[in-house]
Amino acid sequence: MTRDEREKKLTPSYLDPLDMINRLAAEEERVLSRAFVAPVVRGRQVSVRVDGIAYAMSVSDRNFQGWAILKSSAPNQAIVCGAPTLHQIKAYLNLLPRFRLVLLEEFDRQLWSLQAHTADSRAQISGPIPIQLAQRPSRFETVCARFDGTTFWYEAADRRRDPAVARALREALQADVAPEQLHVLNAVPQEKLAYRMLWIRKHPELGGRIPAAAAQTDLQRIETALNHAGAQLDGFWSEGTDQVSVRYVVDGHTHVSRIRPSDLAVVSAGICLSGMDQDFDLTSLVGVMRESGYDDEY
Amino acid sequence: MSTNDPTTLFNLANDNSTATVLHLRFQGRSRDIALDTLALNAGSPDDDVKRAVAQFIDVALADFDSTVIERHANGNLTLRPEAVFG
Repeated sequence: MTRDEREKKLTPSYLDPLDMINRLAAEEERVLSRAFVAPVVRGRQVSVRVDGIAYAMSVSDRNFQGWAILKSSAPNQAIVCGAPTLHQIKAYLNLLPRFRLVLLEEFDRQLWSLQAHTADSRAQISGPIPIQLAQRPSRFETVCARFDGTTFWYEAADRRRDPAVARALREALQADVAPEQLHVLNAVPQEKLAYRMLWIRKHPELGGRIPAAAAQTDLQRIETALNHAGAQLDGFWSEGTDQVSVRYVVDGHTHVSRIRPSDLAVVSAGICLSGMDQDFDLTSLVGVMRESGYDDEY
Repeated sequence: MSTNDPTTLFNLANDNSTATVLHLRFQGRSRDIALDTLALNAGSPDDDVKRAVAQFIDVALADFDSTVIERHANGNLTLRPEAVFG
């Protein structure tokens, strides 16, 4: 027995590699000579799979985007022959697993989303997901998408999800409701996370900080103002309708100052500032107290 | 830091408790600005801080001549008028 014969015998299926290549090439030629349906993203190649082998093709019309009936026109090149029917698109999508996504908005002309249910373990996704070919997308809308292993393709709005939730979130964002004050009935965690993301995007000046809801109360606003500069609130009490006295501790020294609660501007610092007390607010006054070197004033 | 990047926003939305802030008290008004927004950090020199803030609120750098910068242990900064005692 020759060496070639021995090797052939040792191959479990006795397949001739050359024969395999020829058959694959014939199958490739046969398939690629036919029209096929595929989603096309502008400027990106389309993939065709023949016998488990993927082929990438450039679309001759580089500006085309959408569902297309394509035909191979040259090696690694396809042309758009027409538009597929909804039935054809559905048949294509039905081959792929379905995921539910919460839409965000476009970033650099790319629509992004979040997975609606983080417990879904079919794909290891933790962050934002680009979604392709979405139709009339609305922020916070839950949609169905199909995943082909590299790309999420828009399928349809998720009819199981109440659209009132997404609408309420859009209205809240329009009204600039801070995330910590957001109360939308039936909103799920991923929708709230999407809201936080878009609210942060709307407020670049905050650099990603989300103010606490409770900071809207006088007590919390005063505490936050003092904590910024490393001081601690010890107590505060009203001094009429539009002033409060604040007792606070700076580096172990206690001070009392009178402020206006609406904007935390200083009315009376409690030390002599040459009549310029109102130049300062509570936060900036903490450093002034440090600088003054005065002992406890209270 | 860019708030025009979905991954950055995702991370910020999940955990936004670490941002350090500059508190500005200027011409009788108060404002908080994240240091990231100003492309600053707690160790940035005073001149850089004043320049960045002046640019951000669109005033002349000279307008900050009579101001001081305080650096707090928690990483926050405060830009405020000089205090005159007595």
